[in-house]
Amino acid sequence: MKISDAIRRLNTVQRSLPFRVIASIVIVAAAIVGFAAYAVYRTAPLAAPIVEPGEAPRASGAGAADDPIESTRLALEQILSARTDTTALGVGVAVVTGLALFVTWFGLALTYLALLIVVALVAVPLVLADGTRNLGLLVGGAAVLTGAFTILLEAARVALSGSGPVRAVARNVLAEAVRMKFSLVFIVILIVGLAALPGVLDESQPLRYRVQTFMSFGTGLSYWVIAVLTVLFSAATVAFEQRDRIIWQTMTKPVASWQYVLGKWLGVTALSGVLLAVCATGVFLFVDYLRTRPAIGEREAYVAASQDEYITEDRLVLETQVLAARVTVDIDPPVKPTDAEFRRAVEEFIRNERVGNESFARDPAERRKVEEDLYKSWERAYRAVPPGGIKHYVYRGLAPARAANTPITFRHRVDAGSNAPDESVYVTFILGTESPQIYVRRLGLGFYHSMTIPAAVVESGGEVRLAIANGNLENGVPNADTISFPPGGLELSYSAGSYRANFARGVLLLWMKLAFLSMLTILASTSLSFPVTCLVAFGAFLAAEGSLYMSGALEHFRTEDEQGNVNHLLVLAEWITMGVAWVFSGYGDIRPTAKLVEGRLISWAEVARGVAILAALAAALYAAAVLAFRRRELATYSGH
Amino acid sequence: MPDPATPPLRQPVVACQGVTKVFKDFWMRDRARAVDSLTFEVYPREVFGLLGPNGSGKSTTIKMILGLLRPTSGRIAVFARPPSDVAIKRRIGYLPEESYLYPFLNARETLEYYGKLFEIDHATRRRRIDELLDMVGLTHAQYRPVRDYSKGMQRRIGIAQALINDPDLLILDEPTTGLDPIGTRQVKDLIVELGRRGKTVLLSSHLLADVEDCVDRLVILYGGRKRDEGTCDSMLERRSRTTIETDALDDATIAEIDAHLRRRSGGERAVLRVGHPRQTLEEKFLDIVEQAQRERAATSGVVHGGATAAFLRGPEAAEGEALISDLLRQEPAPPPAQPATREEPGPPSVLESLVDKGAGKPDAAATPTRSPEPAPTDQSVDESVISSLLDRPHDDDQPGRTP
Repeated sequence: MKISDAIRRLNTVQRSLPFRVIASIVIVAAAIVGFAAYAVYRTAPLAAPIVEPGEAPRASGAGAADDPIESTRLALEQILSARTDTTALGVGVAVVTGLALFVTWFGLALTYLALLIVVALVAVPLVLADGTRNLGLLVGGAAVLTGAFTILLEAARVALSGSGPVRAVARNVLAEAVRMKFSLVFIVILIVGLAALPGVLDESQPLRYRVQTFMSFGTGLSYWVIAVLTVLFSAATVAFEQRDRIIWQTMTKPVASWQYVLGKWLGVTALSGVLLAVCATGVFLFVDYLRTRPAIGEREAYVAASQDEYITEDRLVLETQVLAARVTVDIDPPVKPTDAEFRRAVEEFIRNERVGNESFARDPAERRKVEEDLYKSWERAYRAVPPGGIKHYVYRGLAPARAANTPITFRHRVDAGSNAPDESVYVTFILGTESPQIYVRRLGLGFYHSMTIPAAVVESGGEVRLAIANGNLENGVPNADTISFPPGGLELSYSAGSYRANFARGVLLLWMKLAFLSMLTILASTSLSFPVTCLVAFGAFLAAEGSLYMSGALEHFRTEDEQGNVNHLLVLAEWITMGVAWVFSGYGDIRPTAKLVEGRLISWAEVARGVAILAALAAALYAAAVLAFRRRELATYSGH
Repeated sequence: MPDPATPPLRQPVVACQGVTKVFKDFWMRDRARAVDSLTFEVYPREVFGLLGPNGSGKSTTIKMILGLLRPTSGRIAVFARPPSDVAIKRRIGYLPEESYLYPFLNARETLEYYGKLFEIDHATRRRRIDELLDMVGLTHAQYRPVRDYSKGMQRRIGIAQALINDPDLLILDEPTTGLDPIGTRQVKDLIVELGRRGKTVLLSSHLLADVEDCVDRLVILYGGRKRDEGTCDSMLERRSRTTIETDALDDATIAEIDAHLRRRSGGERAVLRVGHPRQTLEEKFLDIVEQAQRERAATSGVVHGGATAAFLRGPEAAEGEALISDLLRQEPAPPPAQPATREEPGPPSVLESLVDKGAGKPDAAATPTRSPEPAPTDQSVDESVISSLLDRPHDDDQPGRTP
């Protein structure tokens, strides 16, 4: 039998109904068995049980919340229980099973199986051989991501099948994306880049940094590459179609302008959704794989190498601050810039200055600057503790943590002098008043440190009171220097949800941003040529992404020189920047990647707000695009 | 409630009234007056020609009819609706002057795409695509990307997409551009057949033979203005001359006929020219190709297209396709394609008889009466312009032509 005949016969087999049914049963059974076997392995008891020296674990009970030690122990045990968590595995198995079932019912099961075997034959020897492990991982990762991309793209095409202009145009966009060279190049770059990313992680780094680096680059870079692709492809699919007159044959069919624009947008948004889903799933699964690697100071994942440690700091930070969805609370300063007391202080300061300089702070901008500088000076002093001194601080809004009896993470950073890396200081923290927790810590300078404190320190009104002594209160030895805590250097946080759900919400917001970007570009391309469209769209995209930085930069922007002469060009630049920052302020506030990397909660309310803002902006752009498209004459003068 | 896109009987399918199109430059200065006060009407079941040299405003007029351009002044109605009305486009098929196709799609996907735009259901779409691919002779190349097609093959796909919705009004802009003589003949046959089946065809061309072979009525444009309008016969027939074609005659017989003519007319009439009729190059070419196909000579290009798609021949034609195929198998091999002729449809074939019976349309009988009332002819027509357009000498020295 010829090879071509054999392939043809196999193709017939894989498209037959009995094969699909049997293959589906096999896939589901294999998934269940595989998941169960791995879950049993993950939940097996450790060779050495987790025991803190000198203290046997106490049973949890009603009084656990009131017992700080017991509460802390429970919190730590909860963290360590992630070792046996099979959620990620379940998600992974579900994703793979879903893709396999789709491929099977699409009649391509044997084709994909053959490709998988070929990839395995290439990648596995590379992984096992010395010096080519990363290359093997790259090949395997890229192949898996490509397979997932093609399957999801096909799923999108199936979802957009059927008659009707909107779906027909959208489906055509998907075909264009994978058959035109320039969009294909971006897709290849994205997939290969993401597959290569694990290879650049430094295994000697703390695990939390490795995870943060991968999440930051994996999610952030994926988003930016997809965003660039979205701009270029949205511009190309509309502008080139008009330039090459292909649109004539579409718009002389019963296709309304709103249907054409909607179809284009839907196609590009589906493409960006598929790419984002592939990248996000890859990042999610690899992060969960990293989580099962030993952290610094662990002999195996979740098991500290030292018998003196219950949990390593690396693991603690990873689980409570990185792979988390936490709400953060900073200290509540007793004086605010709007307080009458502060305003009086400012007035007095200005009055004193005008004794020597009559024109001091006459200009509103200059006065604003004076107020900001004064407040920052006060804040620095407020966050500093002199040698041997004690400062008191208060946090508010922690009632949910108390109600849920959720352990609280206290993240802190101490600065002193020039933050010499070989120096450390003793600091005493006293948290709470009803059942105060006293911690004496020897801390390196300039680094963030974390510890877990019980929810019992939260008062009934949601406040937590903190007293900081500059020195060791146990032996009464003060430090030699003043210590200070920078903004964000005295932060309490508590978990308000799972990292996985947070990740899904973050990805949803990123997709919405891409959808908005696509509509923005399509609007530009209805009236402009491809290069001009790209310029406009990239300009708007960068302005939107940078609007938060623009707002920050405007605070320090000055339109006059040292002699007080106003530069009108700078005034114009300030107005333009203010306008751009204002227009995109809603967009700029939506920064899911940063929150994901920092383990901060992206609440459903925040998602709803972000979706509402982006949907409103996209709807306005859509209306403008339809209007511009309807007004445009699609044909041009072709005479002599 | 009547369909707004369905005009009452005898209402023109396309009506242009004083249409002018002026293209402006960036500074809104007049750049070109492409169409100038153009007025004409196209009636149902009519094959109407727009004839003119390059830059005469044919394509611009068509683009305005399709809503791709807006007239600077004047009024256009298609099926009694403005060209911007999306509903009327369900009844229009359009072939632009060049085939502007998605290069990344193959022929089948291209027709799928345009079929979906018309919301044609899956089964009908599939059947029509098969028939159209067969008709344009691209079934064997249907899975190749359009970008790999020759210009002629792309043109054929362009024609197929224009017919996917079985249009009531077919607008063809230079339809034979890029086609070989076989394709050209097929397109002309198709136009004639569609006209006979009651479709309205608006044909734009600068190729005189295309127009002459197909159209019932035409306007001739130059510089964006109408120079003449009427039926082909009324514009081309030269009643001052008579041609008689017989079997070959010897000199003596010819002399006798000449003497007879002179005698009967008192010396006023005579035989002016004697010659042997020539086969046209097109006819010769088609004979050679058909001979090669009978000999099954190999080719990687376009295969001779099949018959007109069944769905274009009438609603029942498609349904009775199996029966027709059976009948055709019992018939002797069909004769080579004959040049299209508008005047004499000839006796109906088995296929046509079946289709006509099913369709219930008096097509053959209706053909001679399909021409609408001729529009008034512009008396101020510049005859020299028309002559130059037609590229035909005034004297009667065309051998072998019959009036």
